[in-house]
Order: sequence, then C-alpha cells, then structure tokens
Amino acid sequence: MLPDSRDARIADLILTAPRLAYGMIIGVQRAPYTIDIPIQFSSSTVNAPPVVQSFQNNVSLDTLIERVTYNIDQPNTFPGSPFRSLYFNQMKQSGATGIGIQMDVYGSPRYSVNLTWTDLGNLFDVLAITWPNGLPLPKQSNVKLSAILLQTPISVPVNVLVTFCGWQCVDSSLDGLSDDDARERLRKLGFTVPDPKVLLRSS
Amino acid sequence: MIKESQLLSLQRTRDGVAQELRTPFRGGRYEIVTAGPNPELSFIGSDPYGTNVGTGLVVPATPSAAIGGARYLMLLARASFNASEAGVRLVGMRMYAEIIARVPIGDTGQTTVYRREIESPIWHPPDGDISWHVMVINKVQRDTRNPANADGFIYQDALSPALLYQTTGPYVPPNGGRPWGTPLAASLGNMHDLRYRTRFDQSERQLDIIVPAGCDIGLFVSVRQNDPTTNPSASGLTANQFAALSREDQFLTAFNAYAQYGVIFGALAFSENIEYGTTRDRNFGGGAPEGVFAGGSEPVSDMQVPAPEPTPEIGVPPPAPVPPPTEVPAPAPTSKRAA
Repeated sequence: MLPDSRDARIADLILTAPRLAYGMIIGVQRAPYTIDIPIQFSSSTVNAPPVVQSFQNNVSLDTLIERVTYNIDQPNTFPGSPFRSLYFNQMKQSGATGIGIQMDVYGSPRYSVNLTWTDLGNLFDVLAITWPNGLPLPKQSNVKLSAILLQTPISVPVNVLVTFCGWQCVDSSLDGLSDDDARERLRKLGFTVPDPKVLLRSS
Repeated sequence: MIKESQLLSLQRTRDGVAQELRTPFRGGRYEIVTAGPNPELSFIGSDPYGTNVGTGLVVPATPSAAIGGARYLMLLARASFNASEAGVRLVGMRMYAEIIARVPIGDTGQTTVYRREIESPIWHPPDGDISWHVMVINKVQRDTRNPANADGFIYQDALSPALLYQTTGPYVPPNGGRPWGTPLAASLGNMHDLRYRTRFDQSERQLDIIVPAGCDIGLFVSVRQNDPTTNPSASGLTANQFAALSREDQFLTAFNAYAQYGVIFGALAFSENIEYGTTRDRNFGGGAPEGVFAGGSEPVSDMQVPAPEPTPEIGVPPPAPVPPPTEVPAPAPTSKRAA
C-alpha cells in the first residue's frame, strides 16, 4: 500500500475506476459535477408504491461521486412557526427521516445498492463506507432512487432533493480510453493493476 | 475482449454471490394502484399509520359547470423506468369509478355517504363523464413545488397519485386539461369507458405491451364532475319504470339532488422479468441472455448426463407395462340448486 493518503486513494480507484485513476495521475483537468434527483410525495400513504426518480440524463462522462447530500421540505408543516427550521434540522440530524430509499445504478455494470428500504438519513453512509474514495459512475450510467414513506409525515407534500456531488475529467482523449487501455497505461507507470482477464474465458 | 456482461453473469453462477437471489432487477409482476387522501377517513383513520388515506382519489364536489367547464385532471398511477430497463411490459390495467351521494343529516352539518360502483362500462351521468389515458412521459424533472400544494393536490405534475392543478380558485387544470406525454398505444391513449374492469380476476393478463425503455408510464383520468341539479328525478317515474333502470340510473335518480362522481382509481400492472429464468435455467439450459456461460468450467446439466443402464435382476420379472388410463366419462351436470 502506498503511504500517502492520495496515493492510497488512487490505488483504490485503480481497482474500481481505472480511467479516473489514470486521469488523476496524469493530471487531466477535472471539473465539479452535481446532479439532482427531486422526489415529491403527493400523499401521506405509508408503504405506498414508490415514487421513482432518476438523473434527468445519463452521466455523459465517467463521474466520481464523492458525497451525497439531501434536504427535506414540508411546506405545510408548522408554517410560520419560529421553530420550523429547528424541526427540519433535528430531523436531518437524527438520521430518521421516515423516508425509505432504494437505490439502483443503471448502466454497465448494473446493480442495486440496497435491496430493501433504507432511511434516507442513513443510506448515503453506505457510500462513505463501501466507496470511501468515491462512487464511480461509468459514462452513460444513471441512478434510480425509489422512495416510500416509512412513517406518516406531519404534512404533505414532502419535497426531497437529493444532490450527488462529484467530479469528471473533462478531456475527450481520456473519454476515448477503454478500461483495459487505462489498466495497461497504469502498469507502464509502475502501478500494480490486477487483470480481470485471468478470471474469464475470453470470447 | 472481456464483456462486462460476463463479469455480471459470474455473480449468478453456482456459488456466485447472487445465486438464486431475487433482486430488484428481477421485479416480477406488480401492480400500482391509486391511493390518496379521503376526508371520509379523517376521523376514523384508515390504517395503523394514522393516515386518512383511501384507495383512489376523490373527485372534488364542485361541478365542472361551475368552474368554466374545467375538467379535473388526475394522475392515478405512475411508474418510472430507466433507459437500461428494457423488457418491461404493461400486462394489465384496472379502472374503477363510482357515484356518491352525500346526504346532509338535518341541520347538523354532517352527511351520510352512500355510494354505488359504476358497473356499466359506458354509463355516465347526464352532465359528467370520465376519460382515461395511459401516457408515455419523457423523463423530465418538472418543478412541482408550489405553496398551494396539499395532500393529493399537486401543481402541474406529480410523481404519485394526485389531482393536478395549474391554478386554484377556480380550479384550472395544467396543460389545458390534457394529460402529459404521448399515448402508450393507440387504444390506450384515450378511453371513454370502463373497459378494464376492477373485479376482473385476470386483469394482470389482459395486455402485453412493451414499455419503451427510459420513460415514465402514467395513467391519467380527466373528469367532468356533474352538476347534481341536472340529474333526473325518480319522482317522475312509475315503479315499473324505476325497476327497469340500470343500477347506476336507479342510484342517480333516487339521490338525484346529490349524486356525483365520488372516488376514482386506476391500476397498472407491469411485468419486469428482466433477468428471466432461474439460475438453473441460465446455467444449465444454455439460454442465458448474456450468451455463453461465462465462468469456470462449464457444468453439465443433470438432464444431459446419460442415465445408467438398469442392471437386470435375476429371477425378478420385468414389471408389466402399465395400460393406458381408461377414459372416464365426465359426470352428468346436475343443478346444485335442484339438490
């Protein structure tokens, strides 16, 4: 393991997103990238058919999601009360929002982050634990959030805005690389890069 | 060249992490049914979560004639599919509408509610009607936030069942009252009858329409709420004439001062067997959607292993051949009522 935290990070990205790791190493210009998924519950039905929303467009470049934030608004809850903001603040602090989320990533590969409903306040800890160096979304990926109410909200509608914060390498030459190309170039640079071909029978 | 699908298919091989696992990508068949607030349930509650939610949406009582002929536009059901979710099929739908009579109890301000399901597919009150629309909606993110939003009452468009509005007081529907999107298939884009019945026990097998990937499918309903003053009265009918009326007409004329559209609900059933078949089918049947079996040594199906020849046992005669089953005549139909 490389000692520096940045190097450790790159070593991890080499495994999960070789193109992004290669871009970081050779110093391709990066640009911040945020994507929103708005969710709105129009009724207070608990355990109803889920409200489903995705990124409006697939991500067009390889994207590394570093953090996911969210905010919740219930415009009809305690309107005019000076403690209104305290209510929302405490709800977010507690991590118990009463909103269950199931997250699927579409594209290639395609997978589910969780198979059952996880509270919105806790779900994105998964990203911090399982992808400590960022959630890589290959280009043409999309994220689908299915949301249900696990608890009766104080009022409806409930507006939720989930924001995925990340970055992309903005260079067309990197965009044209395949994962195998990136692995090969990383090997030339002296990194240890496992080769998935040993697992598979090439067709 | 390694295909990522091969990497994925590794998960489902024998002892793979996803062997025989049911995942959201193998959603099977499911139905989305309208649920929304119903003020009748405000006091008694409708479930252990303490809400006033009932099946369906309540059509507002204000007649369309009183708000400039505006039709109420409601979203009854909505499902969202990603660009990668190919292979989803709309396999059924259901429609329910009823007429309701909210009869005041003296001067108490309370009402007694009577209701009648509309069973005749094309029945409608003289001043009202319903049209149903299954629409394909592009994956757009419309900002539906509005201070006037309330339970089941949402600005312009919604992600879950709601009455949609452009302005309130008087109610004006969004998009000129027309449902968002384009029709899914010609016969489902604009229906004026209850052709897919609520109580049909095969409703999930009625249709088989491939959903274009990367869209939302919405079931909208556009309602002209009738003005009860236009309802015919039973007082002008003889007993024989009243008895000859349909059940809906009997209700309408008996409660002519109050009868209006009440609750409406709709349901869409989808089949989403994207990764069809079981692991066994995929690994041993040779029909894996991704193509060839991807990982390790290729197991041999039990079915393909030649069965060992039975060793003859000396002194024991071979079993006699089983005769074909005798044709048993079906029992004569007898009336249960007669018994």
